[in-house]
Amino acid sequence: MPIDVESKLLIVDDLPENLLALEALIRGPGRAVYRASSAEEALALLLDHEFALAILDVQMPGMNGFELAELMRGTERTRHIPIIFVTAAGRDSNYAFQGYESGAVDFLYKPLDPHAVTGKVNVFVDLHCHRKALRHEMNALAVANQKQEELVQQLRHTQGELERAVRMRDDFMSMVSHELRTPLNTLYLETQLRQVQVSRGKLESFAADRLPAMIERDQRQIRNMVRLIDDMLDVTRMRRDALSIQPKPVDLAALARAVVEGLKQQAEAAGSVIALEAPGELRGVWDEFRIEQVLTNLLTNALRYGGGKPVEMMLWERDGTAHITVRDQGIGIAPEDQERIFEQFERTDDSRKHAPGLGLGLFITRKIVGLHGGRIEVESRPGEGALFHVELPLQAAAKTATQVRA
Amino acid sequence: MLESLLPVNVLIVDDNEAAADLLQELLTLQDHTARCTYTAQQAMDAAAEERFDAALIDLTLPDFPGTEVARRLRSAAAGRGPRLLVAISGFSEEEAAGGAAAQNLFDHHLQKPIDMGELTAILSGPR
Repeated sequence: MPIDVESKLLIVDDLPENLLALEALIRGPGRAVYRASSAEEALALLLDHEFALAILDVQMPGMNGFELAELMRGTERTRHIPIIFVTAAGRDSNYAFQGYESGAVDFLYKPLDPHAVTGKVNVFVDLHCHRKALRHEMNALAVANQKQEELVQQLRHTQGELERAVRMRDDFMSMVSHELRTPLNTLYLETQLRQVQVSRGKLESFAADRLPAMIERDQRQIRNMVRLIDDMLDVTRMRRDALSIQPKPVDLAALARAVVEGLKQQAEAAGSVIALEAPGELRGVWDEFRIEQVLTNLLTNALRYGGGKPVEMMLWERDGTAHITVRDQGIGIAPEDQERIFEQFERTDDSRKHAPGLGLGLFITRKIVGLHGGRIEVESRPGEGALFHVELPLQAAAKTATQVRA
Repeated sequence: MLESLLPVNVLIVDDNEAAADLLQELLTLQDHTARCTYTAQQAMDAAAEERFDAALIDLTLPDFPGTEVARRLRSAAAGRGPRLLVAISGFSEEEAAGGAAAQNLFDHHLQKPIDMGELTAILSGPR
């Protein structure tokens, strides 16, 4: 920042030739000289400018130099301006000037000695420059201090956010590993049991009629673990806005039939059955893998929380929109929880009791539906099951996760 | 893990039914006896009917926490309860809910997946 060190000098004298002579003596680079031919004129200039020094002729018609000086001392704005009185030696010394304590005062005697004039003026101008520079530095320091303070505040805020993010990540890791350990436990116990059976020659445990159930049990645990890991990765992608869809022509009806078929054993294990009502085909442009994930998530939830009662999935098309509903007859969802269940890591107390999980399935489902330009809604009452309703435009407009961020 | 020492009667509480059943089968193969329960209430009922030497208690149960099961087994039975209380959890002992309270209630903490060698060592530990 450049420092404005121009010094303004005020000279007041009723005689124009004196003003000219004085100006010639004191002007110089970095100085601006203002001339006033009366005290009144001087007062007007004092209102508009900040002067480094005022040189006042004492002998003036009307208001004299001392009276002008006293007026200057009486006003805060001009109180501290150094004053040099120009006076005829010995003539005005009996005037008691009342204002020495407020600011510097000096005298020049007529006839003016050019060396004395320039010498005194230089002292005051230098003083003014130094003071101005000092004030400038102090202002700069204050600004710097304030900036630093703001920076510290910002850093504190960022630190808080980082600490929170690290804590969330730790909690997430802890939760993921806890959830993975449940299916892993079943699988590990199963292998330990087989190890004992083999070592004891109890091969009847591996009889042909017992194998399918054994395989299904293992596969269920493995599917659980794969799903947990997939969900975890999807959520990480969503955080980076890196979850995208690749829409291609798909037959939703065929996809739904395949998903239902794939979940047949899981449904049996839950003591339930999935009924699918769908047209022969329902063609649209969607990301097949992601829509399969949506169907699987909704059906898996319906099996988990459906209390072993039948689950019903319906598909239809109307006005360029595909509709999917999944209905169960299980524990249902309280009204106050119906929005929350779509948020990440949110699980209702009821759902926690019924099945393990990270609370990511519906969060991911809604995100995928959103990426397809569609929407998902839930209708439910506690104890009366739940109906999830998905609407998908037949032509998915490819969007990035950022655009559908709620 | 095959050596079964003195047979013990074990109460298992885990809402993961497959895991509970497998534990029962494994313990039976080691000549222990075991009874499976899947909720805290079932466990309390079983403890009222039968005397157990040890209880394996999952900390996350659908009706109330495993720590509560342990507390009731410790206090109500006045010497008639299981000698050995073992917590089972997906969390480590430090992370598990209940923290210090759980540490005082249980004799051991087993983190899933459960290693039968470890469990056998606990069950055959000093009486």
